[in-house]
Amino acid sequence: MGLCRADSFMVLIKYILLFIIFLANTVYAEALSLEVLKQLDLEKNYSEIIDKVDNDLKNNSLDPTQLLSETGYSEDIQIKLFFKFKAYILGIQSGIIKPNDEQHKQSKQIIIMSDEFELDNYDFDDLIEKFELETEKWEKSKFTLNYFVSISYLTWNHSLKLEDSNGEKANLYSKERGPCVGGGIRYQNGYWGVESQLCYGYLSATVGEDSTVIKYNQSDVPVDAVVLTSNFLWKPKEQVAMKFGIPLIYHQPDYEPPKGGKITADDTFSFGYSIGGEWSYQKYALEISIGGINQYPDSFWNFKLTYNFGT
Amino acid sequence: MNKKMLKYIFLITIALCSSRAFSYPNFIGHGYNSCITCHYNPYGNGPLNDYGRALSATAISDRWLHEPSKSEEEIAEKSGFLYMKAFNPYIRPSVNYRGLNLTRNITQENEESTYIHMMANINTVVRLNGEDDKYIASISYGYAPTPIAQKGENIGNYRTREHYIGLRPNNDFGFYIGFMDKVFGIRVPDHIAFSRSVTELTQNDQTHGALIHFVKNNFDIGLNGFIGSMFQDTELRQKGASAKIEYNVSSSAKPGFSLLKSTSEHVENTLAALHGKFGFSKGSSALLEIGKKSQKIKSTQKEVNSMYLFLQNHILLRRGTYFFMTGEYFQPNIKKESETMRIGPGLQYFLVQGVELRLDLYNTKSYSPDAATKDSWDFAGQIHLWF
Repeated sequence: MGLCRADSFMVLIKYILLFIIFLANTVYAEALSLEVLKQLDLEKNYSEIIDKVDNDLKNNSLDPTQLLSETGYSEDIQIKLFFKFKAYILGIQSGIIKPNDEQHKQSKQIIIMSDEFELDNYDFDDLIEKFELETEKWEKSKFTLNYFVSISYLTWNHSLKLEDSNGEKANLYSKERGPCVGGGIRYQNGYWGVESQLCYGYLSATVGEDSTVIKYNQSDVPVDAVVLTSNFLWKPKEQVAMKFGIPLIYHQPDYEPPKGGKITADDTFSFGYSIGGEWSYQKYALEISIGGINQYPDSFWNFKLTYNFGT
Repeated sequence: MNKKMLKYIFLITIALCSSRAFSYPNFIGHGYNSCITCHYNPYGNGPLNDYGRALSATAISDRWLHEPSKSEEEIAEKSGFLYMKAFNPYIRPSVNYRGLNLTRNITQENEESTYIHMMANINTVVRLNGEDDKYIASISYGYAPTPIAQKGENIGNYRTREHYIGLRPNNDFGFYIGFMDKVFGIRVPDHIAFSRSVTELTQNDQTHGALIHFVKNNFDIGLNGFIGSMFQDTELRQKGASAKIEYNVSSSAKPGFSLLKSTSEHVENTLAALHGKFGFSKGSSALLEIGKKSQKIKSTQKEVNSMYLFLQNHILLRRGTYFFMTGEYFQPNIKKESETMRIGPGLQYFLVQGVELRLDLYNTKSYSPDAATKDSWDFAGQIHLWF
C-alpha cells in the first residue's frame, strides 16, 4: 500500500514537473529542452515531436527543409533531429503518420547528415533500415497511369455450322490464329492494378469438319478480329504479375461455303475469361494467358509482348 | 558393369543409407544461374551437394512445418540425408522418388488415368578427399518405368541412372567421365517438353562419355564427348559430341547456345539451340529455348528437319510456392505445315526440404492445313520426394 502511494506521488510529481516545463516552454518558446523531448512518449506523440523539433529549429534560425545548407550542427540539434527522424518512422509504422514527400525529403537529409554526427547513444543505423523499408512500401503503394503498345499472338477454335447442297447439316471447327496489334492503358501500383487493352488481329483459320456425313476443309481463311480485354493484376513481386481478365471478341471470317451450301456463325461477338502471368523487364513485358470464350469449343491463348510508356 | 556388380553397389548404398534430388533452372530467379552451385554435376540433375540441400531447405522450401523459433541456420544444418547433419565427410547418400498421376483427354470419352512410378533411386556420392567436392564419384541406381512404346517388353526396370567420376581442382575447371546426361539446352524437369523429347534428352537418355566444364570471363562452357549407352545394343548407340556455351550477363541473365552432333549405325542427328535463363524480382524467372533438329536416316538418306520452342515462366507466390505458365511449339517437319502447340498453367509447391508437389494442366492444339481438330487436355500431378 505504501509503495502504491509512493508511486502515485512520483507520478504526480512527474506531471507537475512536465506542466512546469510546458509553461516554461510556452513562455520561452525558443527553448526546446532535450529533457522535454525525452519525456514525450515516442510511441504516441509522433506529430508533436516533429512539430516541436521543427519549431525549435526555426527558433534557432534553421530551416527544417534546408538542413543540408548548414554545417556543424551542435550535439543538441543532432539529438533533436534523431528524435524527429525516429518519430516520423515510428509514426509511419504505426499508421498514424502518412508518409509525405516533404518529411521524406527531410528524413533523407537527416540520413545524409547523420554520417557526420557523433552520437554514441543514438542508433541511426536501425532507423535508416526501417526508413528504407517504409520508403519501399510507400513507393510501391503509389499508383501510376501508363500507356502501352502490344503485339499478341492469339489463337482460339471457333464453332460453325455447315449446310451442304443436300441440306445435310454438320458442325465445323474453325481454328483461328495470328497476330493482334494494339495498345492499352494501365493503372497500377506495386501490389495490384487494372488495365484495358484493344487490339486488331489479322488471323488465319483452318476450317474442317467434325462430321462423318460431310467432308469439308478450307485453310488460310482470312479472319479480322478486334479484341478488347480488361484485366485485374495481382503483383506478388514487382516485376511479375498474375492476370485475371475478361476478353471481348469481335471476329469476322471470310469463309467460302461449299457449292450450293452455306456456313453460319452466330457468335460474331463473344466474351470469356482468361488467367495468365506477366514478366516485365524495364519497359518490356511478356504475357502468357489461357482462357475460355463463351460458345467457343476450346481454349483461348494469348502470347503478348508489351512496350510500356512512362515508368 | 554387370548385374552382380550393380546389385553389390545397390546393397552397399542401402547399408550406408542416402538421395537424388533436384534444383531447377528456374532458380535463376533466386540469383542462382549455375547448376554447380547446388549440384555435383555442373549441368544439374543428380544429387544435390551440401550447399544445394541447405539452400533447398531454406530459400526454396516453405517453412510452416518448422517451429517459428527455429532459425534458418538450424534448418540448413539438418538438411542432409533424412534431415540429419552430414555424418561422414566421405559419403553423401540420398534416396529419391518421383510419382506421376497422368490423366489424358480430360472430359473426353477416351479419358484415361494412370499412375506411373517415374523413378525410385538410391544415390551415393563419394567425396574422395573427404574435405570438399573437388574429387567425387557419383552413382544413382534404381527403378525406371517401361516406356509406353516398349510396353510388354522386358527391358529391365532396375538400372543405373548415372555413374561418373568428377575431378574439379578449382571452381573454373572440371572434368567428368562416366554415364551421364548429354550436355545440351536447358535441363528442365518437364520430361514431356518438346525440348527434351524431340531432342532425345529425357530421363532415360544418359550416355557414356566425358565432359569438360570450364568458366572463363563470365563464359560457362561445357564440351561433352560420348560413345552412347553401353547398356544399349551396339547398333543403336549414338556416338558424338555436344557443346553448350553460356554467358553470364548478370546473376539473373544467362543466354547461350548449344550444339550436338551424333550418329549411330542407322541415324544421324544434328541439334542446335539458342537458350536463355532470366530472373525477375526475387524468385521469379523465364526460361526460353528455341531449337532445331535434323535427323537423317542412313539407309534412305532421307533427312527431316524439325524445330521446337520452349518458354516457361515462374512466379514466386510465396516462399515454397510457384505458379508457372509453359508455352511450347513443335513443327515435326519444317517443310510441312503441321504444327503442335501446347500451353499450360502449373503449380509447384515445396512443402519442406525433400517434398515437392506439382500440378500441370496441358492444353494441346494441333494445326494442319488438312484438318481442324479439337484440343486435347491432359493433367499431371506429381509427387517428388528426396531424402
